[in-house]
Amino acid sequence: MSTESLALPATTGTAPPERRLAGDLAIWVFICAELLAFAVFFVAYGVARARHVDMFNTGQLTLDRNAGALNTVLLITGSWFVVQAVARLRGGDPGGSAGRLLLALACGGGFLVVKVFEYKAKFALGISLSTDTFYMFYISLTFFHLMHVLLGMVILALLWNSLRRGPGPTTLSSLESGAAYWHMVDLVWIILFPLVYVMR
Amino acid sequence: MNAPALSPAPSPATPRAAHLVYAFLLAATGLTWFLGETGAAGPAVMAVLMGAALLKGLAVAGEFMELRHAPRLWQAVVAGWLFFVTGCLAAAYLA
Repeated sequence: MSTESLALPATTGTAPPERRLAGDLAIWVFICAELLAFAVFFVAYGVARARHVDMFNTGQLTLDRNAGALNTVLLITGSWFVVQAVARLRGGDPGGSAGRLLLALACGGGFLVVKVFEYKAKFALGISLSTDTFYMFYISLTFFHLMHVLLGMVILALLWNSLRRGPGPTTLSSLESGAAYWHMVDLVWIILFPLVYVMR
Repeated sequence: MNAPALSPAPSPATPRAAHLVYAFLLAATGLTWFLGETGAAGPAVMAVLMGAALLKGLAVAGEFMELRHAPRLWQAVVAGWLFFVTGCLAAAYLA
């Protein structure tokens, strides 16, 4: 096994470091497609809200803002651990990198648990997709995002397994790609939380 | 195996900027939560919320996604997405 690829490219002289995209180009194209889908969703929410302001404000008051804020903290913290995982692998510490990925996975798991309790409370009140336009957006938008959290966790788990078995020449690139995807999930929630849970 | 080549530069530390961004993200999330708890509403509150979301997004994209060191095109794509989404939501709110 070669760990040469784990080292950052050396910079020589005083030339500025070359600009580079962290991760594979393919994952960034995928991220762009995902961001486009969420942009459509967000704009549709904004337009629907403008037409039914009272309905959206009333519905929003029933949401658990503490759960939304807690989930924001969990995603942000997960992203922070993923940043540390990348830094550790670049520094030649795959064990430390794997450990940080586990912590990020725990944050993702916490997000899922909070979301399950949140949905359970809403469904117990008889709220569903067909209750009204606000709840249709609340459930579908947050569930669509939840699916991305799940996919992100699968990616992190695969990366953790790869690190545990010993990093190869492409591990750093794979980790950078997985990290970019995970941060995208965080990025989307950063818009979603104030929009759906707070703004009125 | 070439031993010297297997010794990467010891730089395991996470960039300090990433820690600062994390602290900023937590603080901005606290502000968003606080505004929600106080029941604050209106265009000014909306501007603060969308402004905070925009800054948080730019911080995540720049530091966590490492777009700060990426080609300008990719910076423009993600920053453009953030400005577009928050701008559309602000416009829809004010409509």
